[in-house]
This record gives sequence, structure tokens and C-alpha cells, in this order.
Amino acid sequence: MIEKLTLTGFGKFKEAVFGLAGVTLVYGPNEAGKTTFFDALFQAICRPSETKKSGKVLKARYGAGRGALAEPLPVPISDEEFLNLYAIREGDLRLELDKGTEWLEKLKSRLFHGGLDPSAFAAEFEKRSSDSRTLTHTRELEKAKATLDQARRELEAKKQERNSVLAREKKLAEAEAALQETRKLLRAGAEEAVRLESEIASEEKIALRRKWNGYLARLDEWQQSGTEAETLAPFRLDRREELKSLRDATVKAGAAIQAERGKRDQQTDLIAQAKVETRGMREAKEAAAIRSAAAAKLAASAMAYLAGKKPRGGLPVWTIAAMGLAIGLGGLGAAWLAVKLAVASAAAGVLLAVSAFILGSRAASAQARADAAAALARWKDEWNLVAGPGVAQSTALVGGASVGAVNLATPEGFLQAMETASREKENAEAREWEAARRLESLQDGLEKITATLAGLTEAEALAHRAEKDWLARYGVESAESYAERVSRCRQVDSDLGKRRAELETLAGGSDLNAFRVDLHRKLLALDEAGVPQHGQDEAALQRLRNRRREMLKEQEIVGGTERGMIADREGLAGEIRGAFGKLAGDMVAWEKAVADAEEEVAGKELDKRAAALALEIFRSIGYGADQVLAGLSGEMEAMLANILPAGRTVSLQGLEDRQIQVMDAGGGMRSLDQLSTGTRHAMVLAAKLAMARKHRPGPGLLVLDDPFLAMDDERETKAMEMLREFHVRHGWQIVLLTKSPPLAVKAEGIFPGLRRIDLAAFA
Amino acid sequence: MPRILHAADLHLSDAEKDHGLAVFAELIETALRERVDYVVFCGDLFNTFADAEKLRADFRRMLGAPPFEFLYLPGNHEELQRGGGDLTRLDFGAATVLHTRPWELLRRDRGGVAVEFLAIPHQEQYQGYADWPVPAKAAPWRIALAHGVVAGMAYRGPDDEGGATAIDADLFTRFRADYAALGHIHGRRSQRIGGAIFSYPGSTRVWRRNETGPRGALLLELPSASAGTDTGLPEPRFIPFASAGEYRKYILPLTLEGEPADLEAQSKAWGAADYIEVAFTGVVEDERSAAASADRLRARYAARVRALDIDRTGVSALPGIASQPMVRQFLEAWEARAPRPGENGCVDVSAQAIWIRARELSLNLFKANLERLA
Ligand SMILES: [Mn+2]
Repeated sequence: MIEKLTLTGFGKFKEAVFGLAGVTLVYGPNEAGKTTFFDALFQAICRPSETKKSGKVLKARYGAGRGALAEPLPVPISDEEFLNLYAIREGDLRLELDKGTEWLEKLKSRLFHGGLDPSAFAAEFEKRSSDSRTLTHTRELEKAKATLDQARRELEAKKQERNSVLAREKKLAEAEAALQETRKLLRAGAEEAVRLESEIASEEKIALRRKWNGYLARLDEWQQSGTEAETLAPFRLDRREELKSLRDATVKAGAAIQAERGKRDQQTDLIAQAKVETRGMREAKEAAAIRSAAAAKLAASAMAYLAGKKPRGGLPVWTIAAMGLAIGLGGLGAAWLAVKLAVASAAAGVLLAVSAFILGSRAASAQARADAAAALARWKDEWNLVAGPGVAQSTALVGGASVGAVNLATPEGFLQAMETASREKENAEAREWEAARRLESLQDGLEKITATLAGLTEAEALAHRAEKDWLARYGVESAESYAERVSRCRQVDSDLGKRRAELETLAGGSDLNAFRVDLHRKLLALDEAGVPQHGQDEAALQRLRNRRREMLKEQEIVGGTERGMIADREGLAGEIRGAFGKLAGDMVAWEKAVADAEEEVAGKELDKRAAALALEIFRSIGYGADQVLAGLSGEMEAMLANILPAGRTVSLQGLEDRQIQVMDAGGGMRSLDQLSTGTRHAMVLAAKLAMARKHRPGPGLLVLDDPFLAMDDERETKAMEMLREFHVRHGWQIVLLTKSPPLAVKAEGIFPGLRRIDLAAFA
Repeated sequence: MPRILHAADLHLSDAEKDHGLAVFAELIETALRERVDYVVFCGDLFNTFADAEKLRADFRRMLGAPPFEFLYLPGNHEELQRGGGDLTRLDFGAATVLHTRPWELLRRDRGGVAVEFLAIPHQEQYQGYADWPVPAKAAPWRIALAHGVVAGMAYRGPDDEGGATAIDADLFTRFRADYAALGHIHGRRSQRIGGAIFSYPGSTRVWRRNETGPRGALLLELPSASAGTDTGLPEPRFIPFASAGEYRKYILPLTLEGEPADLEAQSKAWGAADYIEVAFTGVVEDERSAAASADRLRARYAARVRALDIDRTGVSALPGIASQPMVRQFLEAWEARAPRPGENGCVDVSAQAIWIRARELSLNLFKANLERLA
């Protein structure tokens, strides 16, 4: 309750202090400052800003230096609210309020929802259910979701880490197995190396035995070489020249013999030739003699034939002889003869030939046939002799025969042929003699050669013997053999030196006999040590050594692998050591974190969805507040009980004039504007009082500026009584301004404890 | 065919002696009725070491000389309030106490089939388990007993039981367990990991809040067939214990006048051993009305159950709220939007939660606005 109002420089009131009571009557006639007092009270309560309309009006009216202070300081009320609800003035006693203003909405909210604004609630829940990312709850939800995601990721990471540890453990087991395998390899390798070592040692001893035996063999060889060298001592001096000269003599004798033998053979050949020649000459001589005889015979026969023209007995022989001659001379000669015969004396020749044939074949005389056969045989033999020695005789024969044949036709021819044959016979005898002389001479030459050859042969035998004796003296069979011995002797001498030098090297400069003894001693020691007599050969031993070298190399490599494996295993073991127990704890911790975050997200999502439901509910709560209006109506009715005639009821449909209706006795409804001015003013006053009280649950302040002017005296009294009831019941402070002296007097009667202020006293 | 009854987390305590021992009695009865060859108890048999000291005589007496072998694996709770005490010195009668750390291997052949028990009592940490020289499996079946949290088994359920270290599932598969008999997590769950079954039977009795659902033990039947196949081992069967009780929680929105929704229908299902928790929510005109409602509820139901907790922390008071017209309007509109049961006759749980939360959020906003106005 305002107890004191102090005004400075406020219009008429330069310096004025007003004391206020529960009900204060402010009396002032026109121009006494009643409006100024109202404005001052308005400023003290609302304290309007100078930028607002009412502030500007006050400034224009009373200047910037005005001051109005209410004590105790009241809760500020907006100027619209004050002017519409708490200030009731003569001029505006109507309920029509400024529509759509903020304060009216507030008023309605207060009237209908007890000061709570459903739209504000709806707005709040709209916000809380919104997905807008600028809002705190959305950010918090996102943060919670992010936390959940993070926790899930962490949990997943832990699980994977755990699985990885398990996998690594498996790998460790595999590595362990591999390591054991490698160690097995190493052990096997080491055993093999030891075995190889002992085998090689044994083989090396055997090799030593082999070597020493080899030395001994070389010593033996050397000694044998010495013996051989002694045997070959006669050959040390090379006398091959001497042997060669001996040889040459033999060869030379041989060559002379050979030459002489050649001569002898030639001579022999010549003799044989001469003999053949001699025999040929003799045969030719004999043949010529036969021919000569034959020619003589033939000539005699021919003579006889020609003389007698009657050949006797001899014709077949002759004919056969002629034929044989022809046959002997050959086909050509016979043909030639036949042709010659035919040409020279065709008739005689044909006759001769046919006669010879016929006579010959028809000869009845056996003697004749025998003579003919014998003659033929003889001719045959002569032919053979002639045919055998050669061409000369044959030519002679042929010549003779030819001549005979040619000249056969004539006896002269036969004679001529007979002479020719006789000459030839003499010539042949002469040539035979010459040949016999030459043969004799040749045979004499051969005798001389044979004598020379005998001398030469003897000389050769002497030379050969000398050579043989020389070789026998050296015990060799031939010059080659001697040369071989000489060469061997040189070889042996050379080898002997080399071997000795080598052996001396092997013996280390010591005496070779001592060396031999030492070798025997060493071999004996090997025997005593049980070293086998025979082992593998040097190549096999070398292979063993190679194998050992490779073995050691392999061992080195496998050893490196083993060291690597141990390091790997240690690494793996270090990684997983202690991980199992720890990871389980971490996983459970993250499981918890996930559950917490899920709970938080679920809570926030629940809140969001609950906010959506609440939004729906608050949106459904509208302004149709029948109950509130009914309450207001009832309150107005109660206040107007003394003013309205009995049986009238008030009905409030809204807060506009036309929405306030009064039911009259007859049951008809009349709206506010259909009522008399006085009744209407009383109704509005009652409505405002009811609304003011609803609007402000606690006691407030009412400023009334002559609200009763339109009422008659009775209504005025009743309205004032209604005001008094309101003041008494709800404790509101009332400031009543009036310019009416009777009303001021009446008020003093109606309000007990009223304080009266006469403005005139302050001006 | 050996039969094994698997239980854990009975949490016998002097403070709740009767209830605990009643459940223990049912455990024994069940073992006898089901003619089991073994009972494997996987930790937290006693709530604390002190409780073990106090109740071991009762335990011995009740266990007697049973026809089955009772294998008792200590959990983390047996370590609590231990002082200088030593569990190995306590006499648990016929029970075989498996306290050798980090592990011990037993071989038994009850039921005609050899079974190995790999006992892993609760320990500070299991680091280095990979190096444990556990012998190779030499029986058709190997059952591993452990008390702790196996990583990967959805640890956070309705119960958040701390105090034990995490165990990697690999520990069990590594040592060829066919069945991991686990304890410590009070919510029952079973899972196949790498061919083995990992099971938590859950707490044997309702030990504390939020242990929802029936409580009991798991019955495992081991086929005589040799192990090694994934399908060789059937899922264990759950046997609920009537004496164990159930934990039931109700969230009751209060009217502005402090009146809770009716619980009568739900209370029909309550058992004498149940643990009932009622949580009031909402904004009330007068706080005393909520307290009075709680008193009335308690008077009516407390004697019918083992425990009845009424939580009023979710209730806030605001004088004058009942006379606020918009609050009334809101509550009417909110009631009208109550989720209806679907075709299956059930109310969508998430819709229900959203609906209740919408009321809570709205009333809180009312409260904040009205406090600002006052
Ligand atoms: Mn535990």
C-alpha cells in the first residue's frame, strides 16, 4: 500500500507530499489539479519510459524536471495495464479493451490460467522436442550419442586387441614349435658334425698310413733303380757309332752281293732267252727243212701231174695236204686261196677242189687213206711246231705256202716255191748256228758272275759275324736293343738323382735309411693304435671334409635362424604378457561405459519424446475458459447484488461490452449497451473490479476518477457500497478522485477511516 | 548322467537370517528332490566373512550329510569384514570348500560319468592365467567354477554389482571348460561362447533393490556322451525358489492432493518373501499428503511382504498448485492420453514411460513457473 506520494516540480505541485490511506478521497474542483494528481500517481506507479507514448505525453505536459515518488515503492505495472484495469475514469467506463496487445494476452492468461501461459509451455516443449541443432538439449543428446559411439568404439577396440592378443599367443605357440624344430635340426647337425669329425680323423690316419707306405714304396723304387743302374753301367758310355760302322760294313757287303745277284739273274735270263732263241732257230731250221722237202715233193707231184695229167695215188694226199695247208693258213688264206684259184684258173681250181674232195672221200684204197691220214698227222705236227715257236716261222711257212699256192697254177711256181723253200732252209740253218754261238758266250759270262758272287758272299759273312760278336759282347740282340739300354741307362741315372732328391726332401734332410726306419716305426705305431689297414680313398676323404665344411656352414645359418626365432618369441611374449587379465578389466569398464551412455541417450530421447507429448497437450489447452468466465460472472453478480434488480443474472461470454449480458426477470438477455448508462457503468465497474482481482491475486491499487457521475444518487450510493465491500474483502487500496462536493461528503459517510485530501490546499 | 545344481550369491546374513536360511533350505530341498550329484555354489554364499562366522553352524546343520557333493567356491563377499579371519579355518561341514588360489582341479565320477571341476575362487586379478599349468582335460566333462565378471557378458543389467575383477572368457575356453558355472552378477544370464555355456544363475534370493524376476538355481544335466561338440551340452534349466521372493517396483504418480494410484490389483501377485518398492512421483499441493499416503500404503501392505520400501524422493510439493486452472486442464488432457493396451492386451512399455515422463516434465515446468510467479 502506498502511504506517501511526494511530488516535485509536477505541474501545479512544486513541492507537495500527500499521505495516502486504505481509502483516500482526493477532492478538487475544476482546475484544482485533479488531473495532475492522477498523472502524478500514474507516473509514480508505472514509471513510464520517456520513449513511450505516455512518457512523452507526461513530459510534454509537465516538463523534464518533474518528480513523483510513491512510498513504499510499488511493484511496477505497465501503463496499458494500469490505464485499462486499475484506473477507472469517468470518460472510459466501458469494457472494450485494446485488442491484441501484449498486456491483454497476459491478462487473459492470468484470468483463464492463473497467470500461466499455455503457449509459453507449448513453446518450451516445442523447443525441448525440436531437432534444431542450436538447442542445448539437442547438443546434449548428440554429445551423449557421441559419448556412446566413442565407448562402443573403445569397447570394440579392446575386443579386437584381446582377439589380437589371442592370435598372437597362437603365433607364439607356433613360433615355439618352430624353434623346437630348429633346435632339433641344430642338434642333429651337431651330431652329424661330430660323426664326420671322427670319421675324418680315422680316415686321415688311414691316409697317413697310405702316405707313409707310399714313401716306403718310393724308397724301394729308388733302391731298385740303383740296382738297375748298376746293371746298365756298360751302357753308360754310348758306343753306337762303333756299332753303326760294323753294321754299315755288313750292309755294304750285302748290297754288293745283291748287285751281283742281279747281274747273275740277268745273265740267267739272257741264257734262257738265248736257249729259247736257239731252240726256235732249230725248229725254224727243221720247219724250213720240212717245207723244203714238202715243196720239193709238191713240186715233184705237180710236175708229175702236169707231165701226165694223171696224178697217181698221191692226189688225195696232196689234196688233203693242200686243204690242211689252207686250213693251217686260216680261213682268210683259204678264202684268198679259193678266190685266187677261181680267178687264176676257174675251171682248174674248181676241179682241183672238187676233185680233191671227191677223190679224197671216195678213195677206195685203204692204203691211200692211210697215207693221207699219216700225211695229215705229219702236217699237223709240223703245223704245231710252226705254230708254236712264233711269227717268223709262221710267216715263212705262210709265205712259202702262199708262194706255193700262188704259183700252184704253174709248175714254175711250184719249182720256184721249191727253191724258195730250199733257200729258206739254208738261211734257217745259218741263223741256228749263230744262235748256238751266242748261247755259248752267254754261258761263259754266267760262270764268271757265279765266281764273283761266291767271293762276295764270303765277305758278307765275315762282316756279319763281326757285328754279332760285338752285340754279344754287350749282351744285346740288336742295335735297337743296345740303344734302348743306353737310353734306359740315362733315364735310370737321371731318375735316380731326382728320386733321391725328392726322398731327401721328404725325409727332411735326414738320412734316407733313418727315414725308412722312422717310417716303419710310425706305421708300427698306427698298427698298434688299431688304425684300419684300408679306408676310403683320398677323393672320398676330401668329400667328407667338404661335407664337414658345408655342415658347419649350415649350422651357422640354422644357429642364426634360431637366434632370430628366440628374439621373435621374446618380442611376442613381451607383447602379450599380462595382457589377458588387464584387457578383461578394460573391456568390462567399457561395457559399463557403453551401458551408462546408452542409459543417458535413452533418458535424453525419452525426455525428447515426452516433451513432444507435453507439447501436444499444451497446444490443446485453449482459451475457451468457460469456468473462468462463469467465475467472473458470479463475482460480478455478487458485487452487483444490490444494484441489479432481484432475479437478474449476469452472463459473461467474453471481455467485450457485447459479451457481457444481463438476464432480466423475463428471461430475456440484454447486452451491456442496451442497459441504462448508470446500470452500464455499474456493470463495467463490477467487471473491472472482478477482472482486476483475478489478474492480481494479491491486494492491489484502484484509482477511480469520478466513475459515478452518470448514476443517480441511489445507484451512486450502491456502487460506492460495492466498492467498500471490495476494499474490505480483498484489502485493495483505493484512491477516489472527485470534483463533486456532495459525493465527497457521501464518501466520508460510506468509507470508514477515509482520508480526505483537498487539492486546493496544495496548489 | 550327472546332474548339477548351480547357484550363487545367496548372501546369507545375520541381519536377514531367517529369509536367507529359508532359501538355503529350499536349495537343499531342490537338490534332494532333483536327485542331483553335485551342488556347485559359485561365491557370495555369505554376505560377509562375519556372517560366515556367525551362520556356519546353521549351514553345517542344514546341509547335514547329503547324498550329493556340495562344492563351495568363495566369492568377494566372503572377504568383507574379514579382519584377521581366515575362511579356510572355518568348518563348513560336508561342503567341499574350494579356496585354493589361483585354481584347483577336482575329478569326480558320481552318476557314472567322470567330471572335472576347475575351481577358480575370487581373486584380486587373473593376470597371467594363460600360464596356469592346468592339466589337459581327461574326463568327458569339465565344469569351471568362478566368481567375477566375465567380459563380454553384458555386465550392466538391473544390478550393478561391483567389487570383483573381470575375467576373460578365454580363461574358460583355454582350459576346455564345457560349462562355466559363474557367480557375482545377480541377474540371471546364459550365453554360449566358443562352444561352452557361460551361466550366471543370478542371486539365489532377492538381496537388494532392483533384483527383478524370479530367483533360484540352474539345473544342468550332463549327457553321458563325450564332450567336445557344441551341441553336446543342453542349456541348463532354471528352477525358481518360492522362498526367494521377488523384487517388484512400482512407480506411482500422485494426484495434486497426494493420492497414489491403486495397487490393490497388483498386490494380489505378491508373495510373503517379496521385496516391494514403490516410488511416488509428481507434484503435490502439500507434502504431508504424500507422507500420509505412504503411511496408508505401508499400513496396508507392509505385513504381507518381506520388505516394502516407499520412495518419496520423486515427489515435490507446491502449495497452491491444486487451485491452478491450467494444472487441472493439463492433468485432464494428460489422463486422456494414457496409452491404451494394444491388441495383445499389453500396454506399450515405452509409450507408458513417455507418458509418465511427460507428466513429470510438465509438472516440473509448472512448479518452476509458479515459483517464479509467487
Ligand atoms: Mn559377488
